[in-house]
Amino acid sequence: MEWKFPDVGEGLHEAQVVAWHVHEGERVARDEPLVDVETDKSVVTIPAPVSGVVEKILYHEGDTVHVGEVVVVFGDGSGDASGPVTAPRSAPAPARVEAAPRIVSPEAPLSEPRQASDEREVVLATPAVRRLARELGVDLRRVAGSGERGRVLADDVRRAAGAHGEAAEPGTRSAFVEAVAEPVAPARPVASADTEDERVPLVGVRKRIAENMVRSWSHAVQVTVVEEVVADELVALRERINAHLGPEERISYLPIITKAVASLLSRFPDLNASLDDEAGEIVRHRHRNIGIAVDDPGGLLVPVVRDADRLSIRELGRELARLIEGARAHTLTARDLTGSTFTITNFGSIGGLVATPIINHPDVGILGVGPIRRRPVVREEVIVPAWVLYVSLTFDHRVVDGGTASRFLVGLGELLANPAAFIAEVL
Amino acid sequence: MVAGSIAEQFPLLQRLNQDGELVGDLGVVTPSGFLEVYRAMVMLRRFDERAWNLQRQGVIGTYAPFKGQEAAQLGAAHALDEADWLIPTYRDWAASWARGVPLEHGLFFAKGHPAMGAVPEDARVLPAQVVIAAQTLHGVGIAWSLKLRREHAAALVTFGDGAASQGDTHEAMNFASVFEVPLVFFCENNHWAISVPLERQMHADTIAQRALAYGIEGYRVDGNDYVAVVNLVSELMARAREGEGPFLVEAVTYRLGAHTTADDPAKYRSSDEEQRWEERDPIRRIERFLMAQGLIDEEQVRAVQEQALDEVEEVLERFHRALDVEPAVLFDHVYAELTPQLAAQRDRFVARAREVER
Amino acid sequence: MAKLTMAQALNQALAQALETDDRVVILGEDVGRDGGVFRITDGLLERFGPDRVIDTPLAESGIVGTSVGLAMGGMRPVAEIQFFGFIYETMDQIASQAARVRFRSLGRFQAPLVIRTPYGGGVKAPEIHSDSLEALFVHTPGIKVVTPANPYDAKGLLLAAIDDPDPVLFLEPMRLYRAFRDEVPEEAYRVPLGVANVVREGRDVTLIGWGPSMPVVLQAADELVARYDVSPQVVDLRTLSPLDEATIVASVQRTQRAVVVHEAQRTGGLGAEIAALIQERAFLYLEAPVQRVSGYDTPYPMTMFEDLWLPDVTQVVSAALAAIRY
Repeated sequence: MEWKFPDVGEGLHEAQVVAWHVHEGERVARDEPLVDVETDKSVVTIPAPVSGVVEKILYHEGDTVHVGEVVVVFGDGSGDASGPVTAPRSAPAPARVEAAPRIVSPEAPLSEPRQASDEREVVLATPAVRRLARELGVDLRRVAGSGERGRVLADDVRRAAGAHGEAAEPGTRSAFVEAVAEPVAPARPVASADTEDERVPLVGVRKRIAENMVRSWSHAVQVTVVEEVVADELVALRERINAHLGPEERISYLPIITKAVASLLSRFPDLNASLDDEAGEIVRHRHRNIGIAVDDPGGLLVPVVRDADRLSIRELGRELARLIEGARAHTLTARDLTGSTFTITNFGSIGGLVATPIINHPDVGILGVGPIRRRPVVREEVIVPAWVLYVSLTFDHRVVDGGTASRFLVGLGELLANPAAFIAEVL
Repeated sequence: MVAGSIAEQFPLLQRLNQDGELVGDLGVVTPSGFLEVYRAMVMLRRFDERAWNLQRQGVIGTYAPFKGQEAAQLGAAHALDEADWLIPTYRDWAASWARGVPLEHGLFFAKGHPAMGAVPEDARVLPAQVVIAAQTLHGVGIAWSLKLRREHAAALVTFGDGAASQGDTHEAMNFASVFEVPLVFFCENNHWAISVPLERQMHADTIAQRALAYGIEGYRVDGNDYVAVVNLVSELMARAREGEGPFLVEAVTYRLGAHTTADDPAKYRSSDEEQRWEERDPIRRIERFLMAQGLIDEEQVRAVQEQALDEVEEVLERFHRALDVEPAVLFDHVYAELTPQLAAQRDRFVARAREVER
Repeated sequence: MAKLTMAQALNQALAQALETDDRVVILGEDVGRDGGVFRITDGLLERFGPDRVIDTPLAESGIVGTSVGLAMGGMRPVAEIQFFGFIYETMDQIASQAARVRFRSLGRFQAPLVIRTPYGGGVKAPEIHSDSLEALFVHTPGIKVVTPANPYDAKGLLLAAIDDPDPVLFLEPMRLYRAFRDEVPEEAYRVPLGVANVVREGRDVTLIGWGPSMPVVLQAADELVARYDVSPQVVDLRTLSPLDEATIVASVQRTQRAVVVHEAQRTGGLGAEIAALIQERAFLYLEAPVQRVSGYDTPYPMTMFEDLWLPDVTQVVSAALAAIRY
């Protein structure tokens, strides 16, 4: 029989063997002194737990023995049957204590959502889903829940969000810009017989957009600075890149611009930041996640290219294509739609030379990219036609000062105007 | 009230001295009864030693031995009538046994077995009390209930010299005296509260003299003298039943063992002192007396020892059988009836216990 | 039917208990000759004698410890602790003793005692006298905690508490002792322990309170209806331990918004337990986080600032609106 050093509680984990009262081969009777051990508290004598022959002593004087370790092995041969160290569990016990529950009132099962007959429907949804619904301007009551007991899940909400309004028409755009910011068609006012004003409730997507605008506007102090970029080299560069990539992977200017921006932000960390008003801290983001504003009948979506600075232009092309298509098809996940640290918005496809885009709260900067058009520029004192791109940077003047913003734009212009600079600085 | 010094007012009552000589009369003790007492004490001593070993062997947890206090406990317990109540501390396994609580409960207590406080229905004993002196107030309440219900019975509450310092003890004696309840406060002054000796526990010379403060009678008795204890307490219990209580008894004894298995007396007291008190051992003096009276011989002494060991074995057997207990019992006596919350928690607990078992 | 104050209703309950059950004894400081410092035991000594209505020495632990012994000995003691704040003196006898008698003895012994004690703010009482310590005892298994908010409930709950086989801590809101009258039936009726009362039906938000906060909650409910067109459902818990979880959860599943109001300090107050319970059992129904209106995390304030510190109608209304507008 192996005897282990017992756990007698009182925080005892180990003890040192001081002296054995027996040696191997010796016969010992139960309760006779077996071994002295020293604990934190004192030296204690442990009496033999059984009668028998000491077959093997595993810990000797000076050794430290831990609770649970086998200290000594006893051999049979004494036939001592009384006083087992551990009791057999199978014997019926007159002293056994029966557990007899007497439950008074079992819990009323609360499985059904309560419906008040004359009142509002109760929709089952987690707080997170409720928030999503609010952000997407979805009325939960009108959503078919696909979860248990009719619970509304996040995807149910997104699907409902995508079903609003008409599908987007990819209208005629400049060949140079793929990402389109298409304004949402305003609700057609119902013709009225008299000349009374039209009243359309501000609800749903429109309401949400309005709220987002207000929030951005009321937080950031927004200033826009505009720079002109001569884009002849950029145009040529893109053609050569597309020749390399092949017809399946043709890119627009957006991947190139996105790459330039993402790379440049490492030199301008204050532009890749947010202001935590509550904590009073400027949060400089570690990652450079570029949001790309995509207009869509379901609302203004901003899919995000994560760590855009780490992707090659080809990879950016693929990722942007995936995101924009996903945005239109409403298949993007929350991860695709959140976490931007800086945003690019492409307004140029429809019109407008420069713009003053509104920051995507809580970022501190947004870059508006206009169309690339033929415009007169001055070269060596002569006015010549050239491809020209205007870039408009709106920044939060609480966090970013004008000098920084201007320097950023100048830097961006340099990268876009000169492929050698692009290769040298960005890649 | 007798005027005079404390020693004069509270003399140490004794009938059987440490050499086993009768210096008073046997009183309520009969020779054959005394033999039974001797047998019982030997068995209790063997049980106490066995319990100590069981802790060392890892079978039970912390155990508080009563070695040396057998006469005080049995003397007090034997003074109780059938309808009387005993309200013990955590060291009174001998007294509780004499009043119907099986000895394995002492092992349950050290083991942490749920049955540790499950006193048998017919035993008028409260469960062992861990909180020092808390039981003194319960003793007052029990005694008072006997009075209010006009039962011809009384109660005896035990507590130690350390407990005598607690506020609850004072409150209890005060309440008991104001309401004149049928209670004997029985202090087992064993001279040590873990490592704190009597001299540091109190300034007064005796505990018995506190009776003066409450306007009640107090007595001091040699706690290792079974004859003196049982006679004194019998008389006081009888008077208490008649409404003359409460009373305070200080039984002067000695804790021959450690405070508990977690304690090492060698750290704070001398073996000289222990040796002196070994000579006042309650069992030794009875054995001497019985031998001198020709009521027992060497062979019978050996027989008593053997029988004692057998009886202790029986206690161990019952203890081991009782280890097969359902953990769910933890939930069944929190309230008279399971609340819905407890019922749900109990189910989870049982499921978990089964998982662990596998 | 007679209209009684809470003080009168409690007095009546005690008299009826003493009359019908000779195991019942009342004990405490000043409960006999003086009739209790709030006169709750007025006249009982004269009627039932000093063996039933007992003036004890000044010792809280003594009172409760003795009561534990009396209860174990077969009596039904109704002990009074003069003010809830003094209960700390008796913690061991309540938490280590009374609450564990049944548990420790596996049902062989029980301790069916009632500890009555006045509590709560709004009465400009001296230090310690207004403390709300119910969370400490709700956290202690083996003891029940009950607190009435009106005369009708006071009588019925006290009689039920005296009957209950387990120890009951009966908290009496001082500010409500004589604040208003209710119709109270003459006969000895019981209001069951462990059952909350939906005092007002509603559908927009659940207001949960107990004891001294109930008038504030009800007034806030009135204001919500009158000024904000909000329909609140008001729940008076009545028993704090065991909590009537079913009623709380059912209500919040219906209204989807909840406000808990208590005088006790915010951190670790019973509101936290209720909020946890609601989010566990009604998570999918919630339209707003559970609001808590409570005392601040300071010791009970010097009463010059009591009114600022305690939950008031404005705070409860704001909390309800915050939940609704979330």
